[in-house]
Amino acid sequence: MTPAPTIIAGLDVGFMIEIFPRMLQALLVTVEISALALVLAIVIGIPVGTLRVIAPRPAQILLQWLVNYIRGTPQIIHFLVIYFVLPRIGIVLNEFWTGVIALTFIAVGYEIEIVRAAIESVNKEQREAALAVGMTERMTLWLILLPQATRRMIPALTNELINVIKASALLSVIAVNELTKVGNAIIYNTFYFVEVLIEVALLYMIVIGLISWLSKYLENKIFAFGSTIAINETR
Amino acid sequence: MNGDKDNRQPLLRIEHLHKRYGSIPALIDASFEIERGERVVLIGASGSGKSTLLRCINHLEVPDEGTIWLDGESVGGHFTADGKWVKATDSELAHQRRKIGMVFQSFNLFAHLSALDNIAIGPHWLLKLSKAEARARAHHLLQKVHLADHGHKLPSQMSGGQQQRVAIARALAMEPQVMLFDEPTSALDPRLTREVLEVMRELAGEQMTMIVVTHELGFARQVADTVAFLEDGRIIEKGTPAQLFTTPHDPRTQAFLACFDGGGFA
Repeated sequence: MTPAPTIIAGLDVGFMIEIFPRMLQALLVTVEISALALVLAIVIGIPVGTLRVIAPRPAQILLQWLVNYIRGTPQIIHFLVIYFVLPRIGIVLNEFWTGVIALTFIAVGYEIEIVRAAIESVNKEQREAALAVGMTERMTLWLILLPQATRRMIPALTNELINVIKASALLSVIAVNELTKVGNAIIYNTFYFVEVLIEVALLYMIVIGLISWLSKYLENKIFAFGSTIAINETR
Repeated sequence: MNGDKDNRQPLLRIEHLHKRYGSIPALIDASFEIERGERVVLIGASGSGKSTLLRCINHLEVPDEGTIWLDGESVGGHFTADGKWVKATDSELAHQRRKIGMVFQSFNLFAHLSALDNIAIGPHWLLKLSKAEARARAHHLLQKVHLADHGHKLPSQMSGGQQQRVAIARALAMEPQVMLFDEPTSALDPRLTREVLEVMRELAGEQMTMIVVTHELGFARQVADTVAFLEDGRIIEKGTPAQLFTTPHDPRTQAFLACFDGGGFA
C-alpha cells in the first residue's frame, strides 16, 4: 500500500498522481456548480443589465441598489446569507444549489454593471443615426446598440466568469465537496501541502485557461464586427 | 387636421419653432416653408441654430414650441379637435422619420455593419423588403454614390468621404421625401469634400428636396434655390443665392459673408 515515492524537483509526483482521481472528481463538482452559475448568470444578467439601461427610472434605481449590495459585500457573506437565512423563510436548498444560487447572484450583480457600461459605451451618435433612419427605440437597441455592446462586454464578462469559478472555492465553508475543500481535506490527512496546492492550482488554471480561450474565440470570430448579424437573422 | 396632400401646399412647413437648452435659446420663432424639390441651404456661424433647426425637423431635438408639418402631417405628434397637442408614440415617430433622411456631420455609420448592410438594414427591417431585395437596393445605391466595389467594407475601413457617401445612400434607401444634411462635409478635407458635394449635386439634379447646413458657400451658390442666414437662433434673412450673396440686406448677413474669402463666390 506504500508505493515507492517518485520524487521530481522535490515534489512527490507519485502522490500527486495517486490523488488525481479524487481531485478530478472534486474538479467536476467545481465545474458543475460554476457552469450552472455561469449559464444562469448570463441568462439573467444580460437582460437585467439591459433593463438597467432602458427600464423606467424607479426600476433602474432599484437595480442599482441591488448592484451596490452585491458589489459592496464580501462574497462569503452572500454564501452564508443564502445558506443560513433562506431556510428561515422556508427555502431550504442543499449545499450544491446554495452554491449555484449564491454564485449566480454574485455574478448577476457584476454583470448588470458590465452590460450597462457596454451599452452606454456605444456612441450616442449610433442611436441617433438609428432613430433618424426610422427605427423605434427597441429596434435601435436590438439591431444597433446590443450587437455593438455585446462584443465590448466579452472581455469584462470573461473576467467575471473567471471570478465565479474562483469564488466557488469559498463554497468549502458550507461543506461543498469542490476542489478547494477536497484539496484541504487531503492536506489535513497527509500533510502533503505543496503537492496538493500545486495540483489544485493547476486544475483551476486549466479550466480558466479554457474559458479565456473560448472568450477570445467568441470575441474575434463570432461577434467580430462585419459579421452582419443584423441582416443575416431573419424572422 | 388638414389631411389634404395636394401638391401645391409646401412639402415642409415650419411654424414658429422655439428651442432652448436650459436658459440658452437655440432657436427663436423660426418659420419656413419648403416646396417639393426645393433645395435650401442654411448658413450661419457655429451656434447660430442651423443644426438645431435641422434636428428639430426629424425630432432628434424636440422643439419647445412650434410645429413642423411634413406633407400636411404634423411631425412628432398631432393636435386633437380642441387644439391640444398629443405627443407621437415611439413607433409613430419612427414611421415619420422614415420619410425624412438625415446625414450627419460625423457620418454615424453603424460601426458593426458593412457598407452594404448599413444601407440595407433600414429597407429590410423597416420597409420589410426581403434580404435579397434590400441588398439589391443597397447595391444600386452604392453605385449611385460611386462606391459599387466597397459594399463589403466596414466603416472603419473607409475614408471619411466614402463613409459620408454611404451615409447618404443609407438615408436614400428609405426613399425619404426630404433629405437633411447637417454639415456633411465639415469633417472632411477638401478632396473628400468634393466627392461628397458631387454626390449631393447629383441628388439635387434629381429634384430631391434637400435642406443643407453647410459652410460651403460655393455649393450653396450653385445648388440652392433658397439660402437662409441664421444668427443667434433667428432666421435673419433668406433669398435666392444671387440675392443673398450679392445684395444681402441685413448688416449681420453682410458681416458673416465678409468672413469668407471672396464671399464664397470662388
